[in-house]
Amino acid sequence: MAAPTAVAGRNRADARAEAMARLRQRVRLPLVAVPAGGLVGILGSYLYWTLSPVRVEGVPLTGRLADYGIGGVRTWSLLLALAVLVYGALVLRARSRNATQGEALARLGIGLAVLPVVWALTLVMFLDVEVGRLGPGPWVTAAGGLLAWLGARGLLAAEPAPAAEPWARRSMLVDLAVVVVAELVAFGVFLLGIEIDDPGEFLGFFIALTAIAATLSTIGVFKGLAGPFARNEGVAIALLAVLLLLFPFTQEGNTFWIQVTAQAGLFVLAALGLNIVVGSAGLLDLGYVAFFGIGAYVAALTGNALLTNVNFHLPFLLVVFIVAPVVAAIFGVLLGAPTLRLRGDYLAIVTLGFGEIVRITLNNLDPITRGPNGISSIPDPVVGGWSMGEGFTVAGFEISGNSVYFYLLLALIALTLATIYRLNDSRIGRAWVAVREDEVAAAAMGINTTIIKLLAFGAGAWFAGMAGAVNAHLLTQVSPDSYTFPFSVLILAMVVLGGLGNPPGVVLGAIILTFLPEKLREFSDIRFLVFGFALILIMRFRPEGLLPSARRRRELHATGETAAAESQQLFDVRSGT
Amino acid sequence: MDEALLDVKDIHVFYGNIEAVKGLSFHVNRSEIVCLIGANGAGKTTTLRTVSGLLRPREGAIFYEEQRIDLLPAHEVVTLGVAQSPEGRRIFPRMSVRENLDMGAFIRRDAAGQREDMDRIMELFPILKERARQAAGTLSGGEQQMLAMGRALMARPRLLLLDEPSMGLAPLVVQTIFDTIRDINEQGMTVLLVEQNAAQALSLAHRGYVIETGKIVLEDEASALLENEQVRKAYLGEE
Amino acid sequence: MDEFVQQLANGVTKGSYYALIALGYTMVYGIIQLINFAHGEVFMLGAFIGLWTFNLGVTAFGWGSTSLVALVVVLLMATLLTPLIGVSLERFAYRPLRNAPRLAPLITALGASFALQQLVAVFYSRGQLAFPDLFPNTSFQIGGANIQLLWVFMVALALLLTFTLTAFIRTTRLGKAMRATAEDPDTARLMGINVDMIIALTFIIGSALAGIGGVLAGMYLGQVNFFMGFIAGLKAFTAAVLGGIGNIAGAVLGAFLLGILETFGAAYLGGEWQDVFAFGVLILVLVFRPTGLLGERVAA
Repeated sequence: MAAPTAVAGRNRADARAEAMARLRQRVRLPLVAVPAGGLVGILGSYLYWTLSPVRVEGVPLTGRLADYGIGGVRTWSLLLALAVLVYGALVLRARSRNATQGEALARLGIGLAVLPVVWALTLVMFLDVEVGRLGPGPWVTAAGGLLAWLGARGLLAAEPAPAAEPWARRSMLVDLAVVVVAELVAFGVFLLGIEIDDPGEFLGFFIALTAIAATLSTIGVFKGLAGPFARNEGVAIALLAVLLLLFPFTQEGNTFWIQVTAQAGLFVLAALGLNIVVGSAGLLDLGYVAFFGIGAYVAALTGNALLTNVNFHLPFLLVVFIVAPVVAAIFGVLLGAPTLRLRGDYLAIVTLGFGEIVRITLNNLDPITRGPNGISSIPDPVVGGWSMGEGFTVAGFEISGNSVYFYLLLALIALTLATIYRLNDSRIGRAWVAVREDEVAAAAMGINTTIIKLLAFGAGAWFAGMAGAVNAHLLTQVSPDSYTFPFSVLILAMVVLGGLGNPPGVVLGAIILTFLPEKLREFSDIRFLVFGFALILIMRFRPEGLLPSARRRRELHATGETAAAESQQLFDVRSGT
Repeated sequence: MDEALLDVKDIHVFYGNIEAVKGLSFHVNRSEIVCLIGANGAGKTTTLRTVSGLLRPREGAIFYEEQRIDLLPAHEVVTLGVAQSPEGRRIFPRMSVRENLDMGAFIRRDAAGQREDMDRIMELFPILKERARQAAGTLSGGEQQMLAMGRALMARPRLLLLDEPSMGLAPLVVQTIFDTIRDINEQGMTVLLVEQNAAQALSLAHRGYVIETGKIVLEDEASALLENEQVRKAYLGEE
Repeated sequence: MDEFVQQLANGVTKGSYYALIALGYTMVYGIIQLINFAHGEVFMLGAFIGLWTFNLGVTAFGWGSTSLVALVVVLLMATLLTPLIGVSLERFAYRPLRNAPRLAPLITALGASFALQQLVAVFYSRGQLAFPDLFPNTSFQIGGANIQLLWVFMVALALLLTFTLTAFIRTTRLGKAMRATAEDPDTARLMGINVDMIIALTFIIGSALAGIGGVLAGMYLGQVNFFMGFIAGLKAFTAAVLGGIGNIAGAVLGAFLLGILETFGAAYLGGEWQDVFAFGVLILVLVFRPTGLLGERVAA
């Protein structure tokens, strides 16, 4: 009874199903390509990567002609290639295979392919190395990665593995061991990352790390770790605290990375604040830097700076904990009270405008802010007669001034995190979620949405003010140029990358986006270019960020099928008006 | 079966993970009025939106004039001759009545034919002629329903889908609307009608299907359904 | 009095290119309720495309400045190439997110704005670049004020384009389809309107107008930089909100008003406060009359 077109449609579908079935049977064939790709990758890692020494600011890039051994970037391509080989062989030999393994292998393969290409591209584009001076190594390695990736795709037709679960408790000891090992490994990787000076090698390290983390995530290791961590929260936090307290001691004689870590701490603080606004309450604040700047100027004006027009000194602790946050929060409420009634996307543009207004005002209010020059020579904070910059000595160990900032920020972050978790569990926190998910329904439930949004806005400004105040002292100067729109976007990128609404994710995002630019200073030109593209790509492919909260993942991920079924909500955006 | 204009085969439609239509099959023959009746949330509107291509079934298939249409985007389904007057009328409120009718004929390129149809529709619903230049949002509910139907007819469809044309209208207006549907059908139009107003819909239709929670629970000649004990209890408000 | 007329003329001229940007903002917002942050960057790229076209013309055909041919070709290239940018943005950045919560496309738009800016900064130039005088450098006196012919051209072109656009949206089949899509996209699909196509068309028209605006702004300001789209875009959005977002006539009215307000603000409060003035207006409008002067409506 069906007409030809219909038959054709059916037949095509049937044919596809048959082809899939055949593919499943022959799954072994493409799978062999994976370990083969790993072998090619190993070979590539041992070949020349450059044919003559490449120097960046006097530091030679590794991979020299004379260097037949493994070193530099090739360590990391070798590591990835080995991972592909070993895991590929294991999967090939496994009795039952699933699509999840294929996906995991594909990620390793992509990493192996991308690593040498990105390395080569950066050399050519930013370090002015001619393509001719690159050896065969990177291309062979990339080919190996490609081969592995193609092979791994053969497995994608199989059934996926059941969703990963947090690991169940075996015994107290195993649980503890897992927690300790995981934290030590994470800390070790962090220290290793700091150790690597060579920008080319760091790229390799970073890509390999990303690929391996993505693979572990695919096969459910991170999900599994959640089990032991949840059961031993106290131990996990205590161990983390100890490791962080010990961190300055690992940087003997070199305070640079301690300072960068302190800077990262500042960003963590600011990002956690923005996360309340954007992540918890769902309000896009694009002028967040204004509150940071206000906090910084408050600290600068009251901090006994050498060159200032204001002669008014307040104790540091009072400024950091009360004055700067309160002033910033007052501005937040002043801006938010009239504008938070507006629909969400208007808020974005109003806050953007406000950020500009604050910057221009700081620039033009010469009598107080010293205009474009800013305020410089802000001394280290003094608490009870002791200047933080002097550092102190414990049991024979000298703690430098930078380390003091680092510890100060650790304390502030711990305090902030505790506050945020308490808030999120409170009526207010639940109201934020309600307002974010459905403002109309929230209002119907009796939530005063304007006040609730105002609280989020004020809380965000509060933490920004606090971070700004510390920032003024850490950098010893403030100027309007430091508090521009790109800064707001940078903090937003940290929140989005880490995982909107999930504090640990936000911390991770802030750390990555502080360290990465420091490690890749040679490429600082393209920093904001990368941020821009990163924002687009994250929203497109992983809107929930690196470490999502469970709720957020559900909210943000419209899978293909549901997206089609929900196409009646194509313009869901308009219901938010 | 051979003259089936629309043939819906075992469709399953999901909103996210919620299955709104759970394996629904029915057909509409040429020149028939078929009505789907059922309570609020039974899946009637979802079914109609799926036929129109606004939603995609996860399983099953829809054939129109023996061509599979469930994979086509909504705007292509219209070009095949399926027009819908949607639930809640959904006229374009800021556009004039005439412009609304123009939008109904969006897929057509024959200016003369369009003018002819426009005249015919204004004859069918004289009030629309009176208000041709008025913004459609200023019309009363009944007038908007007429406009929505007229707009669907402007596509010169071979299958007309009507979603709750009686919703929120005064009984007298409902009568007018249903009379018009009968007239249109007598001129040869095939109509698939979705209604909560079961009594009137069944007295108008040739055949009917009863939908409950996404499934067809009863199907019969409309007159037989009107007599059916269950239907009388559940949908006609009789004890 | 002279001073007043002079400032008025400056303000109206500024308003003309604000208007051309604001039209795109307002149309896109009207149809998919997205603040397309990257729209200001399309404007900036319009200016740069103009500059590159001119530079090419100088090498290839020996164009000098104030050449009518150059002016026409430069405007044409900006009109033809900027839509490619707009459509790519829509297709690859925004369309995949149409089902997502509204924060997602907004962040994407922000990222796109940043990326486009930085593409120019990284791969072309971070500096202030001189923009050629394509228009005859003639001026005349009205009421004691010195008016350049270029200004008259800019205002006339902006008004002409606005009227053309209005006529297009009011009367043509596609224009009506745009209005229908803006009012109710699902029902528009039931009419047989290819909504994706209409949205793409909206981006094409908006981008082309912004591209022309970019060239005009380049000539008016005499210089361009990679950052020019950010502030101009923000102000154009302010103009669109001022007039009532989604409202074509409102956007243009808002743009001219903002241009005038801003110029007078700068003249009487000091130029360094000019931007504060513009954003202050934005906040005040949103607080006291969020529907704008002419009210929110979609299209003509």
